[in-house]
Order: sequence, then structure tokens, then C-alpha cells
Amino acid sequence: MSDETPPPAPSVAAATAAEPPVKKELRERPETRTVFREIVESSWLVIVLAVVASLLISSVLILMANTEFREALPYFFSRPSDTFGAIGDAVGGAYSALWQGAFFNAGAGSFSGKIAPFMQTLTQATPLIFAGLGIGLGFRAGMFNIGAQGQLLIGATLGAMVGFLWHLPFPLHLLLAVIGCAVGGAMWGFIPGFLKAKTGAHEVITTIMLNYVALNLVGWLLTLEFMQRPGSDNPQSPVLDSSAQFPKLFGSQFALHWGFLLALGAAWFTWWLMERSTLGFQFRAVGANASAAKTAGMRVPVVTILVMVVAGALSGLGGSAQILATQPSLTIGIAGSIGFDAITVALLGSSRPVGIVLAATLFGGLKAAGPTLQVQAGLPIDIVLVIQSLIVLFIAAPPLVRFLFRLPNPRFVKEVAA
Amino acid sequence: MLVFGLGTPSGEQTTFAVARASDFFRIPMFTLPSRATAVVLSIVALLITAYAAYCVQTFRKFPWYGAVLYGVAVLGALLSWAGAGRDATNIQITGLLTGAVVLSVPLVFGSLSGLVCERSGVINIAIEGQLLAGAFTGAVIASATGNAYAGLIAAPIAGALVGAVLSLFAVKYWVNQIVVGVVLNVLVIGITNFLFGTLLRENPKLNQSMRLDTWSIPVLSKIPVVGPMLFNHTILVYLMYITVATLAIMLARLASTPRRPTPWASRSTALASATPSSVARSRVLAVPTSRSQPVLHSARR
Repeated sequence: MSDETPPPAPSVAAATAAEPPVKKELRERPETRTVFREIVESSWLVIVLAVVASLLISSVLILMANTEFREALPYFFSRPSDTFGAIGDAVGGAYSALWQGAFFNAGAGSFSGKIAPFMQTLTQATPLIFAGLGIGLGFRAGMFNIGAQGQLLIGATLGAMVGFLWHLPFPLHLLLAVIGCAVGGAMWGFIPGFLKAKTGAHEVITTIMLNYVALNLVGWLLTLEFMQRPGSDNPQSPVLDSSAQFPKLFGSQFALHWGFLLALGAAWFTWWLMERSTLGFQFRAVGANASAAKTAGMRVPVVTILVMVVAGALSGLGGSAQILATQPSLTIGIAGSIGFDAITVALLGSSRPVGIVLAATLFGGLKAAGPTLQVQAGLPIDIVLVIQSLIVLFIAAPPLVRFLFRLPNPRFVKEVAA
Repeated sequence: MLVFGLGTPSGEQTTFAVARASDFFRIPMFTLPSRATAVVLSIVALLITAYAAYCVQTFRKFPWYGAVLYGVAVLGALLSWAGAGRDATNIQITGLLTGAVVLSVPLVFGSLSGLVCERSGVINIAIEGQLLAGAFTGAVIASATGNAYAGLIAAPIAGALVGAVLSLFAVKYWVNQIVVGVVLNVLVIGITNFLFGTLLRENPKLNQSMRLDTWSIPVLSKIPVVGPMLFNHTILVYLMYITVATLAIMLARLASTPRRPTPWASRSTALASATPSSVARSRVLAVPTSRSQPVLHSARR
């Protein structure tokens, strides 16, 4: 099968390398660079408006599901106030529940109750930061690491095994558990990296399939004697030793733990790796143009494997944020939907560490607000998925946002994200 | 080999039941010695694998039926092993094959959609989202109108809509196709789950089980094994046959005339040629075959 190389490459390469043609103005008049124009052309505005647009569309969805609105709509013209009232109730209720669940609960008794939601947001953001870094790293090196879910799961499994099979004193045990998570994720990232380097297998397919393999593997492992909680037949592991868990940051009333600081440290490390180190330069070079990198003497297969290993290790550390803090017992659902949310986080953050941390905070907030949304506004938690995906879609297509809000096209077209 | 061949207890027998009451003539049930069958079939599978490796080494083309034979051999070994020594149950080959055809319909349609997209230069990761959107829409419309065929028409339209969004973002706005595909999947899951949890909970009559009737082709469906397997199905399966045949012919003709401008996009670059309409047209293929199990729970994650 010698004609192996072209198939996915042209479409993928064309898709990633293509950029819209640059628009040039014939005469640029310097005095028109007013503050207004700066703001209106900036990419920050696009991001903000993308969030606004996605909230608008989600509002439509919320309204569709809302009975009062549907009942008031038929007689809209005779009594518009009813319809508007229903809109205000439904949409306002939903978004205030979102705000209360994610950032600031003004109705709570004490100060700690008031900022508890924000702490929960940061806690939920921690695994997203790790996994988002893993995926973003892959994106910048030209690899689509959709396998964060599986890497996270295997990382959490290995860390859990270190946590309940060994019994060691506090700092050492925690350290080894964290290393175990990273190693687990790295192993699971090594497989698709190796396959891509040796056989050219497209990493999207291998990583997605390995997600399923990981899920079933962990499911099977949890049926084994030594992995189960003593005295119970349920597929859940014993609770991890407290010496292997992350201590809480602000006391036991808040869920926030040291893993968050580790995540910030990992973000800094990723920045340093990509922007300041030789290896990171090689990663970026292979991502930009693998043939040119090869001509320059870089060993592309080795770089490929290394990228996936590092990305897998980062995702595995995301597993540590779950198993060593939030949910210290291994079950099949420990990874939740973090793997896929992390993809949207990486996209929203343009694969840069700073962006990823901010995006993870935003999506962590959406996740933390889920239960409040369900209880207070009576909406299924899936509206959060809708908001998330819409935000990412709009961010990924700035021209669409500009078109929707009638913004002028920028004079210098920036590179399209991812 | 290890599991199926040597794991089968020797001396046991597996009974294969092949005939059904409505057939032209009856093939009597036959029994085969389980272990020997499993071993023989496993050896066959190993030989095919060895030949495939040899083909790779010598850059020869591995014939397409090789994979089919391999599948048959492995399946046969599995069945021998599973049915060993159980006198009470016979392995219903016909039933198995019929079920296989029915279950393969969603896979076939999804793959055809991916195939058409690949040929027009777009990577369609959003097939799952299109299937889901079609399943949801089809089920709701069928329940709302009381007619399963209305759902059958509505479903590909929903799939095409999702495809249109994909092509809008991928082609007009130059967003990376894999990214758009993955995000669209999540979006469709979110929308369908949300609507399921709100609208459908409140109006249960929007979620009734409507089934398509099975049409049995008069003469052909009586042939012993092949008949019920291929010719006694709902309209979806027949549509699948027609679609596969049509696409095969169309693609073969496209391949043989390289100079002719294709009605779809050319596969050289995604830059100029992949037009949104062509790609959206191809999405109509993502007919959600959950139509044959129209209960929405099958589409629910």
C-alpha cells in the first residue's frame, strides 16, 4: 500500500493552512485610527460578541422549551406584555441562575456562602485546564488529540491504584500519585503517537477509538477483586488514602484544592515549553510545516511521539484533579465529559496557555452552574453544552460574528484559530 | 485461535439451524463438531492474516474479499465456541444474518455520507451529530403527525441541515473541518438532550413509538438463507441497497473520467471547489436509521 500518505493529508492540510485572502485598503489614512476603530476591529470584541451571540441563540432554545412563553405567544399582539414578561422570566431566570451558580450567590447567608460558587467554578476548571493544555499542545504541533478523555481516564486509574494500593506518608504519597496520573496519561498518549510516527495512522481516529478502549478497560478493571471496595460488589474502587489527596486551599468549606495551583503551574510550564525551549520550538515547527522541519534536520517521528506523550501526561494530570480531590474513588464515570469539554476549552483559548486558563474558567463556571440551573430554573443541564458549543463555533468563525453584528472587516486579517 | 480454537471443549457439538418454516425447501439442521470447526476456521483466519502481511511486504494489493473471508472465519469460530455443547439452543444463522443486515443500515448510511464528503474534499466528523439530529427530528415528526413515513422524510432534512452548518463553517468561514465536526456533534447532543428533557417530557405524545412496515418481496424472500436476510425488511433497507448501488455507479464513472468537471466538488483542493451546496447535498445520505427503532430512547445518550 504505497499510496498511503496522501489520503487524509490534503484535506487536513488544506483545512489548516488555508486563510482568507487579505483585504487591503487602497489608501490608509492614519487619522482614522481612532479609539473607536481600534475597539471595533479588535479580536477581543469578537470574542465578547461571540459569547453574546451564543447566549442569544441559547435564549431562543430556552424560550422554545418554556411553557409560559409558548402560551403567551399566540396572543402576542393583543397583549405583548405577557409575552415579554414570559421572556424576562424564562431567560432572566436562566441567566441569573447561571450567574448565581457560577460566580456570586448574593442570596447566601455568609460571605463564604456568597463566594462558594466561584470556588466551585475554579475547582471544576482545574481538570479542564490540564486537559485543555494537553489538547492545545497537540493542536499547536499539528496533531488533533481528541483522546484526552481516554488519557485522563487511564491517568486517573493509575493514580488511583497508587493511592489505594500503596500506603505511604503524606507528601510522598501525593507526589507519587500525581506522577502516576501523569505516567498513565503519557502511556495512553504514546500509543497514538507511536502509530502515527511509524505507520502514519491518523491520530483523530486512533485517539477517538482509544477513548472507547480506555473506557472498557477501566470498566473491566473495576470488576477485578483487588480493585473493588472491600465488602461490596459495585464497580468502584476503595477510597484513596487521605495522604494521597490534594489538601484543600482555603479550608474544608470550599472545594478548591492545591490541584488548581498545580494547574496554573502546568500552564506556566506549557508556556515555557512552547515559547522558550528548544523542544517546544521543534513542536511548533513540526506543527507549522512537517516537511520543512524534516529538511531542517528535526526528527519528525520522534517529535510526534514526544508531543503525544507530553499531551497525554497533561491530560493524565487532569485525571489527578478528579481522582485526588473531587472524587477520591475510581468509578467508570470519573472522567465525566471533561475530555470533550477540554477540546472546546482549547479551541476557545486558541491553544495558548493564557487563553486556555481563561476559557477553562468560563466553562468551569458553566459546569458549576449546572445543578443550580436545574434546580432553580428547571432547565436540563444540556443547555450548558449548547452554550459551550455555540461559543466555540462563533469564536472559530470571526467573520460570521462580524457579519452578524455588522462590524467592519479588519484591515489586517489575523490567523484563524486552530 | 487460542480462545476459540483450543478453548472449545472437544467432543462437543454445535447445532446449526438454518431453515425456516416459510422457505422453498428445507435445509435440515446440521451439527458440526465444535472444536474442530473452531480450530479449522481459526487456522483459515491466521492464513488470511499471513497472506495480508505478505501482500503489504511485497506491495501487492490485498483482495477486498480477503477481509470478508477473514470476518466470516472469525465469526464462524466464535459461533462454534459459543454454541458448543448446548443442546437446547440452536444457532439461528438466518436470524443472525437478518439482524446483522438491520443493524448495519445506520453504519452503511453513515459511511456513505463520510465517503461522499471525503470525495468532495471535506472531512465529515459530524456524522454522529447528523444521525442524531435526524433520529430526533424523525421520531418527533413521526409522533406528531402519526405517520412514520413523514418521519422518514423529515429525518434526512434534519441531517442535511446539520451538514449545511458544517459546510458553512468549514467552507465559507475557513474553520478547521475536524474542529467544526467535533463541536457540531456536541452541539447536537446538547440540543437534542435539552429538547428531550423539556419539550418531550411535557408532551409525551411527541415521543411515541412509530414503526415502519416491513415489506416482503414476493418471490425472493422465500429463498432459504438469503431470502429473509435480504428481502424482508422495512423500506430503509431497500433504500440502502439502492443508495449503495447508485453511489457505486456514480463514483466509478467519476473516477474513469478525470477531466470532466464533477457535479460535486473536485477533490484537489478544498479552496475553490467545495461548494456548500454540494456538501450539504451529500449530507442527505445521513438518513438516521434509528427510524427503524423510532423510540427516542435509542437516540438518547
